[in-house]
Amino acid sequence: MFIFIKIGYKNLFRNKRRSVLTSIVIGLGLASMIITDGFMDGMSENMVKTITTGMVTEGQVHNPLFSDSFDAKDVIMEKDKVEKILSNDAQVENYAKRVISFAMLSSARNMRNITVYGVDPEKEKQVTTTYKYVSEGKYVEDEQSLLVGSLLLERLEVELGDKVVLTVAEAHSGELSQVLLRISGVLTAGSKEMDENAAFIHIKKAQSIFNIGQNYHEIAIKFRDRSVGEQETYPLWAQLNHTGNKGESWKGIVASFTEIMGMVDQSKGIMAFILMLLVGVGIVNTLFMSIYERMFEFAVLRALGTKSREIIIMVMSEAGAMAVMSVVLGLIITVILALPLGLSGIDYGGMEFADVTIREPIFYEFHWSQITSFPVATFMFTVLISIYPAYHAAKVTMAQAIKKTL
Amino acid sequence: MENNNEVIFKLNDIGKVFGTTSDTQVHALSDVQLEIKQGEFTAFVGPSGSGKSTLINVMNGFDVPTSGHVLLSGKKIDLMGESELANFRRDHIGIIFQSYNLIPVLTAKENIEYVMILQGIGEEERSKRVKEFLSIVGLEGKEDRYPSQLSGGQQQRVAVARAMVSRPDIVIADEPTANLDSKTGTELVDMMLELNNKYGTTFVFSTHDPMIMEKAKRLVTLKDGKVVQDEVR
Repeated sequence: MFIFIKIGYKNLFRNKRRSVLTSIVIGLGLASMIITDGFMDGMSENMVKTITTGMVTEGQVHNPLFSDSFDAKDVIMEKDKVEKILSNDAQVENYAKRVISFAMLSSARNMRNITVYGVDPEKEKQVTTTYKYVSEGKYVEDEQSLLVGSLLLERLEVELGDKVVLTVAEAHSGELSQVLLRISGVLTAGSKEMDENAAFIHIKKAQSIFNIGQNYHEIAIKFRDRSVGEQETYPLWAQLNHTGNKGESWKGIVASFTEIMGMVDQSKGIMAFILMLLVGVGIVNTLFMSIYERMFEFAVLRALGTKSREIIIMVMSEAGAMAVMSVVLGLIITVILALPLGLSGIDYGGMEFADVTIREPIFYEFHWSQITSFPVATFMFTVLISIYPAYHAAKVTMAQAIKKTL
Repeated sequence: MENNNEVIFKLNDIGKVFGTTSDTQVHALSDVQLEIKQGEFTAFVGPSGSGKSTLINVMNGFDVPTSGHVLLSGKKIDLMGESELANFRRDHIGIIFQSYNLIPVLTAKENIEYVMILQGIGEEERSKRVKEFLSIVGLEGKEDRYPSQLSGGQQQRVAVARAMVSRPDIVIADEPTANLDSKTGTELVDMMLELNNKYGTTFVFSTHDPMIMEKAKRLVTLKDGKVVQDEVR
C-alpha cells in the first residue's frame, strides 16, 4: 500500500506549477467557506446581541392575553410568585419590570400613535443597553422624565425640553388619561421602530396613568449564560408558565428572526455546496489532465501486475497530497484575508436585516470547526471526487496506451 | 542452467482482428501456432505490420486474441479475469518495453523492486535481489538515480533487471533495442543472452535489427500476421 501512496504523492510534484495553482484554487474555496462562515456567524452574533441587549432582552414574561392584545388591563398574573421564581433561579442574573401599552403623544403641532414603555431605570440598565443610545439629554431618571425617539421628535416637530401631552386609555375603565411631560431625553437607537414609535417614562408614572396599581405587563430577563435561557426545556420556562403567564426566550419572541437566520444557515450550506462543486470540477479537470499525460505509465504499472484498485489508490493518494497542500494554503489565505478584517470589523453603518439593525461593526466569529471540520471536509471531498479520474486511469487499455508511447 | 525442453508457452490457432465492419477489419494475426520452450532465446522478426507487436501484446496479456488460446505454464491467460491476469503476469511474465517505461518518480532501485513489492516479498530479500541484479546489469552505485538521471541504455538495463528480478517464467520484450544506438543495443542483447545462458530464463522479443537477429537462438518470421518461418539455430 505504501508504494502506491508514495508514487501518488511524488506524482503531485512532477508538475509543480499546475499542482500549486490547483491547490491555490482549492485553498481559496476553503478560505471562502471559512471566511464566509466566520463573518456570517459574526453577523448573526452581532444581531443576536442587538436583540438581546435591546428591548427584547434574553427572555420575557407576559400575561398570555397581553401578547395578543397589548391591552393595558392584561397585567402579569401572580406577580409575587413570578418574581420569587426569577429571584430563586441561579441562572437569572437580573430582571426588570415594564409597563407597556399604546398611547398617543401630541405636541402643539402634531400627534403620533406610539408605544409607551414604563421602565424602572436602574433595573432596566441591568438588562438592556438602550440607555447607551441616548443622543441628547438624559435617560429616564424620575417620574417627570420622558425619553422619546429621535424620529418621533422630528415628527412631532419638537425639541429637547419642549412639553408634550401623553394620552392613554386607563386599563379597566378605558377612560382617557392625560399627562403633560417635558422631553428630557432623545433616543437614537438606529432602529426605525424604536426611534419613530417609542417613548419611555418611569414605571411608577406609567402605573399611575394606566391606573394599574403596582402591576405591570412585562418582565425582561437577563441570564448569566444566554445559551441556557435559549433552551426551550430550561425548567424556568415551565415554572413561569405554571403561574398562568407565558415565559419565553428571545428566540420565541422574535421567531421570524430565528427563521430567517435558519434560512441564512441553509443559504450558507448551499453556497458552500456550490463552491465545493466548482472546486470539485477544477480538481477533476486537473487530475484528468495529469492522468491523460500519464496513461502510458498507468498501462506500464498495470502491465507489471498492478491491480486496478491499486491504481485507484495511487491517484487518490495524489489527490490526497494535493488536498493536504490545499488545506495548508487555504488556512494561510484565511489568516491573510480574515485577520485584518477580523480585527477592524466590517461596518454596515446601521443597515437593517431581518428587522434588526446592525449597529456595530461585524467581527469575524471564530470557532474550532472552521479549522477542523472545514479542512477535513475539503480533504475528504477532494479525495472522494478523485475516484472518478482514478477509475478512468485504472481502466486504461494497455495495448493502446503503450502503443501511443512508441 | 540447462534447457529442459519443457513447453511453457503455447499459442493455439491465434487470430486477432481489429475493426468491426468488413470494410475496416484488419487481420493482424491469423492461425498462429507456436510453442515456446523453457530456456529459449527467441526473436520475432518480420517487416512492419507483420504482426510482431500484436503477437507480443497477445502473449503478455495486453490484448485478447479474437480466436484461439494463449497458454502459459498450462493456464489460458486469454480467459483470465482482470485481477487474476494481473497477478499471473506479475508472477510469471517479465516485460521489457521499447521505450524503457520506468516509473519516473521512483529511483532505479525502487523501479527494480516494484514488482517484488507487488509480490509481497520482504524487504531483506528484495534488497538482496536488487543488489544482485544491479550488479548483473552493471549499474552498481546508480541505484538511487531517477530514470531522468540515467542514459537510455542504462534505463533499459534497469528495465531488464525489473523484468527478471521477480524470477518470471518468461521475459517478453517488444523491440527492446529500437530506441538504443547499435552498440548499446548489441550490449543489451548480449546481456540478455548471458542471463539466458546463466539462469535459463526464457526470452521472447521482437526486432528489426539484423545484428540482434544474429544472436537469437530461434528466429520466428512473421508476414501478414502468419508465421512463415520458424528456424531453430
